[in-house]
Amino acid sequence: MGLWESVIIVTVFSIGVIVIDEFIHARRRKRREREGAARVGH
Amino acid sequence: MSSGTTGGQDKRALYWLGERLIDYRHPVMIVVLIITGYFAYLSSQLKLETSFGDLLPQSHPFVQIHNKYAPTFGGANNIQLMVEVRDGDIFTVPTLARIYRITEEMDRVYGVNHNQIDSIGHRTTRYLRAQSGGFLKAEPVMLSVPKTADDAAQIKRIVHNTESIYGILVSLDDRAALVRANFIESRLDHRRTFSEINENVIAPFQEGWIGAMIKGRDPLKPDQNAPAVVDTVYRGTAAADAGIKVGDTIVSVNGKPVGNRAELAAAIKPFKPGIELSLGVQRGEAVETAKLMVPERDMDIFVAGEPRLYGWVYSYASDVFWILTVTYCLEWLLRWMYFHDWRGALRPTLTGLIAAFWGLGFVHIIGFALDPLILVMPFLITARAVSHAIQMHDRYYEEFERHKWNQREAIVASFAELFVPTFSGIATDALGVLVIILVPIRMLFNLALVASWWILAITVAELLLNPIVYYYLRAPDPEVVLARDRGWYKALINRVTDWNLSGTGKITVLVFWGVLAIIGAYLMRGLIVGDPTSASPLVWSDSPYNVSHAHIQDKFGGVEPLIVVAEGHDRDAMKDPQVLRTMEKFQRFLERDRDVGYSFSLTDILRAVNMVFHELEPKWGVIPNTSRDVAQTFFIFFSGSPPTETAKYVDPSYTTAHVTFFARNHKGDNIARIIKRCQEFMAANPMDKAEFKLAGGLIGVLAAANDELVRNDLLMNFLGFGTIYIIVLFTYRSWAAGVYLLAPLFISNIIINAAMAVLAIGVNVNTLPLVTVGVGFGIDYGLYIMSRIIEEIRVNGDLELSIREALVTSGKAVSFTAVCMVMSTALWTFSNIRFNAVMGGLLAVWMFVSFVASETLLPVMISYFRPAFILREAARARARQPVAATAAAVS
Repeated sequence: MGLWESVIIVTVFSIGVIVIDEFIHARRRKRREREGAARVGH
Repeated sequence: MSSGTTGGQDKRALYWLGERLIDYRHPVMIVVLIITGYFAYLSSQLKLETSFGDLLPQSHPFVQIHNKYAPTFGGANNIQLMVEVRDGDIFTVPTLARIYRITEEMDRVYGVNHNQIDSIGHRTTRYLRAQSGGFLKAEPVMLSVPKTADDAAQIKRIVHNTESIYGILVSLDDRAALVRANFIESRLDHRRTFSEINENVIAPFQEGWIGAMIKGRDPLKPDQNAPAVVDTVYRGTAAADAGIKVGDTIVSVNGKPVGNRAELAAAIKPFKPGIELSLGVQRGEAVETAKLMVPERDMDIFVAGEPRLYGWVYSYASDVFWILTVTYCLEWLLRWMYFHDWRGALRPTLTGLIAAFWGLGFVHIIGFALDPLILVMPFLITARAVSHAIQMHDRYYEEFERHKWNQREAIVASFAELFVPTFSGIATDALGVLVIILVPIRMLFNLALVASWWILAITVAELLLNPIVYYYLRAPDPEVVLARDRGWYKALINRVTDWNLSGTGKITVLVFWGVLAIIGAYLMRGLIVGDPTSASPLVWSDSPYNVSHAHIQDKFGGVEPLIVVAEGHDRDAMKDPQVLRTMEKFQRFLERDRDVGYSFSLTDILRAVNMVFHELEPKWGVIPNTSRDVAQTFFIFFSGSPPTETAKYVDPSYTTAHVTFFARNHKGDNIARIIKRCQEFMAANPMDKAEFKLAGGLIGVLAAANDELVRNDLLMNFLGFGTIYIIVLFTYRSWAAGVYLLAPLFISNIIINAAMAVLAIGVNVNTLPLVTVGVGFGIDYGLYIMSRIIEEIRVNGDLELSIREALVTSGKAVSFTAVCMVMSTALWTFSNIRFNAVMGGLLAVWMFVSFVASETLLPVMISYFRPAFILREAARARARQPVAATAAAVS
């Protein structure tokens, strides 16, 4: 493995983690909003 | 939780600074980025190389003698290549022809000193031949490639009758021959030497050998390509069976074109014996196909010596990239899981990256190059930078919650509250490693400067840029911050802390560390300066290098030279019989040492020539009685040789010569004993016309390096600890604070030294910087915990409560940073370079031991001895509270 392969792998990995993290948090936010709306509806 | 107002009053300047950094974030960011960009550019210019001279203490008298005489008598950078046949002896036409060509190819390797090659196939290896009329003439053993069995038998006779060859360049069982080449230190290019030896010297005659001699390059036209033209085909070989004839040109192997001997060997090398290959053979204009069965290997080639060793090390250096990649990904994953947020993974990366660019750029500015053997060091420094960032990030979350989700207040508060322990940690690390500059070895001096600067560069990213980066990033979700304080990790920290601070826990901790310190102190007596094993500790014992080294040692007794110079007071001093007899006596004296294989000097030639004069009668193998007879004998041997050839034995004015001993290994204690015996002999045997000077060759320069390390090791430890003590003194304004913080560090140091002794890791120029860095890095854990205890006691006034609070907040972050630190270095244990693997493992253990000692011993000591410098903070806080209350009431 050379320098550039290494740089590409770590960059892709970091971006992957950021995307997954944002996705998880976005789902949680949506779920909270839905639960909040349901409580208001009651 | 605590902190806040009281701390805020004490650190007003830091709060102010934090606010201003956010206010002026754009210009600060631009300036830092421009400088970082410049350093990043410089980093891209970096090279990976080793300068042999930089590894030596240049002011040491041994090294000065080595430098003065290495160009003529040979230096420390020798390559020993051993050719060993599997059946029979070497005195067959094909084997002798290969030895001749191997020697010829060795002479063409970049950086070789053409006059310092010893081999029966080299022009400078001569024997004395009696000619008709009673004349004696010194002639090369092999003037050309032997063609017939008679030629081979004649060479065998010469070898057996020449004392300076038999047992030295040809093994006593006739199965192996040695080719020894010395390299010019200023022209050392380890990667090039390594590949040229592999491709041109080994492959065509070992794995690529088909039983036919292929023509090599024309020595007079070295840049011109030489096609693979068959020069000789030996009977009963694979080439003969394939129908290959003299004059054929082999142009392809299994359809793959080959342009010369090295390419042909490289094309055949991957195939196992017994596999049939199609060779494209050009005869005249036509190209025919010959079916060649890859033959069983009939000869093995082993190569050892420092340039070869470094060649292997360079070939393994690319390990750094996969280790970097795996470490990075694992650490990202861990940080993401710990902080529940990608910002927690990214922020420490930025700190590490910026510090790395500043550090590597600086390496280029001072003209230093990275050595493959110090690659663990950048990892360790970067891991330390990342650790500081993790502490800061953890505190930022804590402050974010405390300041009711106000991002700006949280940023400023975390910056101000952690400024002191972070800066103290960086300062102790940077100044602690700087003490290495005291060792007068250029490489260590440069390394100390670079490491110190690199560590200081963490300040830029961690303290200057940190509030700005947080301000630019979106604030974390409150649920993410709260999640950090829940879960199994937090529960584990709480449980361990409760046990640690219980009565039983405290006693157990004190007894545990006390016993460990005693055992460590006992074991560390076995620590050696220099290399502790005969194999090279840089690569694994089963690596090709160490296997070759062991084979050569077994066959020839010793291959590592110690050159003792006999420096005459006047010209012709080396013709004086008393000087020569003392040299001979010296050889016999030191050869009795179990680790000296054999020796060589001018007197060996003299005795051999005298013997030839007297029909090879062994009783005449003595030094003549008069200077006149000595001069005559020398004249007979050297008269046919140019001065460049004779210079390797004696200088042209016969003022200076040398005695070279070949040691079996370079273990630190053996080197020390051999040098001591040399000094004893020299003191007991003074000469009228000359004196012995120590010492050149690998053993001589290693003796000098070990000498300097012994002289400076204790001093550096003392200064390292002293520097840390002084910084702690200023940080906490207390004489006792240093004692509390240094106690766990001191015990860790004892344990690591004991581990080095048990694992047979010697203190040498490679291990010393890493070990010294470890001393400084262990203190950081304690600094964070101590600062937090002080911070807490200012608020709650209770020591036990403050210790507990510090351990479950800062202590938790410390435990996580320790995991990251340990992992960064532990992955190195998978390196092909044994040195990096061992040092990575050792530093991982060190970081772990320092962490455990800081988390257990430090708080227990504080709890037991209740230091005044901490308790006075509680008193001050109590005194301040009424004043603050009055002020609030008035306003």
